[in-house]
Amino acid sequence: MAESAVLSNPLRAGMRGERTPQPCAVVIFGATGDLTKRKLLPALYNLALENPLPAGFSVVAVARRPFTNEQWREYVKDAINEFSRNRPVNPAVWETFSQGLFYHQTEFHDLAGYESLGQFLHRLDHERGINGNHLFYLATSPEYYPDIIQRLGQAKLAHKEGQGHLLAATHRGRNHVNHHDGNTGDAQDGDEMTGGWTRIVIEKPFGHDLESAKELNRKLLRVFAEDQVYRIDHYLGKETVQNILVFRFSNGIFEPIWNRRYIDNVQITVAEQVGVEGRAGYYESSGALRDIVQNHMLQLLSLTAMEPPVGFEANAVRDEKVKVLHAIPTLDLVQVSKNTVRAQYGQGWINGHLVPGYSEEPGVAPNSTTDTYVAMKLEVDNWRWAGVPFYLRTGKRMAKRVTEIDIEFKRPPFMLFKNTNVTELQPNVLSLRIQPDEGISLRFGAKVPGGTMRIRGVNMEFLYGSAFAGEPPEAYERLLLDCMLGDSTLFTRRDETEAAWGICTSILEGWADRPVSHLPIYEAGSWGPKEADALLERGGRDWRRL
Amino acid sequence: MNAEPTGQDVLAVEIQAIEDQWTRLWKETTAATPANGGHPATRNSVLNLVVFTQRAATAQAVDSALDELSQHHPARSVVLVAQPDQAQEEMKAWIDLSVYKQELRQGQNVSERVKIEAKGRAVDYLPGVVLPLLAANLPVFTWWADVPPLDQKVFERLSEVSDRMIVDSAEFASVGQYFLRLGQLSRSRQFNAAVSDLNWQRLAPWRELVAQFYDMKPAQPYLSAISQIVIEYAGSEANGRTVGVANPAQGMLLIGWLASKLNWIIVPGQQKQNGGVYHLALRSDLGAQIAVEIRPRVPEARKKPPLITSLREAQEDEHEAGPTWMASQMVAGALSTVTITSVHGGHTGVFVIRRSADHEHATTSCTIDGTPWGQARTVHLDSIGRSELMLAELEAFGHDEGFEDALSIAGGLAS
Repeated sequence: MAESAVLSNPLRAGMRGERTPQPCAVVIFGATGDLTKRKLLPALYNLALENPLPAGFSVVAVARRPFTNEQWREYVKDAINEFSRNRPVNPAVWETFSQGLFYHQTEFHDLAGYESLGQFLHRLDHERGINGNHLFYLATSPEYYPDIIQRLGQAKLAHKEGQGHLLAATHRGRNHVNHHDGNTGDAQDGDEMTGGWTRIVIEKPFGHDLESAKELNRKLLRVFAEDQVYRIDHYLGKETVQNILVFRFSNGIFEPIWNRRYIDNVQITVAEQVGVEGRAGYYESSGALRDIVQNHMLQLLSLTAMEPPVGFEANAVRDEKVKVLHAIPTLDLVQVSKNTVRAQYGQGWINGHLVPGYSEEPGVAPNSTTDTYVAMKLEVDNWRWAGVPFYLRTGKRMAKRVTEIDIEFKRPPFMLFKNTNVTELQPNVLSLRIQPDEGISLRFGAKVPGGTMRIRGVNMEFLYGSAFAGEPPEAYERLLLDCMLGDSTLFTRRDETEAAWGICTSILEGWADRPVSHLPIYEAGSWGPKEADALLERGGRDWRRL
Repeated sequence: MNAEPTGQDVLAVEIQAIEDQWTRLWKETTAATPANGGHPATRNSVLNLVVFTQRAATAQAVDSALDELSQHHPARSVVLVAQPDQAQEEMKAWIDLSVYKQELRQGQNVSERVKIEAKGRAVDYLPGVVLPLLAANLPVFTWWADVPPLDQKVFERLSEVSDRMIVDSAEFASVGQYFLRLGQLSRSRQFNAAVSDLNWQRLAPWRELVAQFYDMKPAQPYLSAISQIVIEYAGSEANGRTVGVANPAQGMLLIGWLASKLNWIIVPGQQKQNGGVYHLALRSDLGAQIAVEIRPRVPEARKKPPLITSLREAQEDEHEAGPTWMASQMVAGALSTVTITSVHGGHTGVFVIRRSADHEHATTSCTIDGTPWGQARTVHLDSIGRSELMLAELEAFGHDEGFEDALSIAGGLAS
């Protein structure tokens, strides 16, 4: 929460359901990139439209293209009209929102550009009452992260809360604009500055292996304190992902059976129907393991397997998540060979169209061994989960788009109905569907009506959309607002990021140790290669049919 | 459900008959949906909603609102239409099972609804009919769709089984009396239900905008130095002139809220009302006087949307009835301008929120000694339709102490 605003403004006390940040400026690096256009700008506009954001709220774009403020505003308007869930733009709200849009051109390595950015922000602090509250959002290609972080530090733009008066003093003499004309008596010369806060949001990928992630963390934490850093994984902004915590810890009936005594295995699936969609350049150096497993899937696993936190606040939740990651042993070479499968999609039919194989996609090397599919068996070596396999699979060009966590319970210990037509009892399965058709289902056996004893598995369904039909905010809206409010619960901490990379790097190293000339091919539109089926069959299990 | 029931739908008020009818409809619904190729209907009740009205016209408007609400909150709804003044003593019911396809998200909702009409002394027995119809283990929300009969037995009995009582003070003819009584009830230990008011929801964006003025550090000294507040609200009108008794409830609640947060107390004997204009006096804990004026005002532009004074009038307008139309209405008593004046350090600060002519936006501005302070800005005002307000109410649980504090003070101001 924006504690200082709440505490110093008595009207905020007890305001129900309101989450209003302090006046602040969001400074976007890489402002003309795809992420900014498709996600960030629509999200900021929707926040301004629906919340509303505080007076003085500003967005400062930092990029290399030569835009004027007016051109930037037109660019933003076009982005909103194209990608916002609320469109076209509301003219009256736009009038105010656009007044807070500014463009600052600089090369990312140019220190002078950051110093002039600092002067500009200082001017905004006074003119728009931002009071030194700056949120830097790194939406550039990751190769620019180190430069931007270092220059922000050199330009003294990374001040911690309460230290901004130093910055104010630094810049006051250079380019001070006195907007208040001496009328207020207390708002004319920067003395009212309390320093505000500075935070930085970093998009994925956060490094490409453990060492690079550690190096990026080192550079980051030379300039910013950990509590200023927000490593974003938009999956955590999804309502249904947050609901995992609610489902587990607000219901008394599940936690007692949420352990190795009752659960046979856990399956986590993140399946996409799309291919690389013009991102071959990025994907060739990434692959499914880095792109999906290291962040989204290990986050889902952590939330599924974590112990109850001592409180619902950022570090308490993250403490428990990171314990799960630390409890997953890194894989040695034999385990990588035995417990992981990687593959690449070949030609196939998706939605009635013939689609090319990965190696035929533009920008992909014909002999590429980049993984577009990964399946693996992980273990969580702790008291709760010892011996329970966690199966993860993710892939592109799969049969359908679905993200789901399936908790498969152990079968009943005794076959009561052995002298009847019933030959086998199916396990109960609790499915947490993240997308689409968000919801929860529980499969259990029921007697088929009739004189003979027959049992059929039936699903008890809860559809999120039918119980709560309101359209939830986009993940980026939730996460951006959390950043402004200083709530880092849904962002990954340094140790989490490194622990996740530790697991994935052991797999990458195992793969690198046994290079292959080609990967198994699975047909586009299928559920993956047969090698992945074999991974479960060895344990007497099957992938869930989704 | 919107149409008058046909003879075969009308049931004697026998609980088993109603349950049997529901079961039959359920079977038909679930059997029909897979054949259509869609998702099967889902029986997802999240709450019980009891609606009480004493007017047939309101009951029709309620039906429209429930259609919309059911798409968001699948519920078991019990609509009570009471006509206590009828000499004939009678009670009858008809039921409905409605399937709503979700356009944005997958799946279909099914909501159950029963309407019970009671005349004469039968009204007193309505609570006994409602009880067995409520779905077990789900919260009970009671919506008093027009003026709640505070002193009638039916109010007391229904409040006993409710978790939340929802009223709309825009409907109140005498704000002071109702605020006082509701304030007492909400504080009473014997009264378990939380009380909420749709007008409090309507005020939410205004409270937010007022609070935002003082989020900025330099403006905060002006908050503790408020000396005058002028509130203008939409009045009833005819031929372009303000007429009749206007409803100052929103203005009163806004002042009640400010007073509760800033520790203001009412100055006894100095509250005056003249021709719909309220002159109120409060005192801060430092002894400073705060003069408040709440006055009705005809909106400058009425092209979009037209002013209505109540749900009844909305429904009675046969050309523009329906939930979509209702969603864009501005009820009588809706705030149009709030002007807060403070004197701090020899400077006079004026903070203004003004509703725009289209009623869907508000402009905020500040001046210090007459000079603009910061840029004026325009924000979108949330929809004020009843369905949207009810949606928010149905997601709230427990007592809202902020509202109850404001209600208590508003009751004191208005009475």
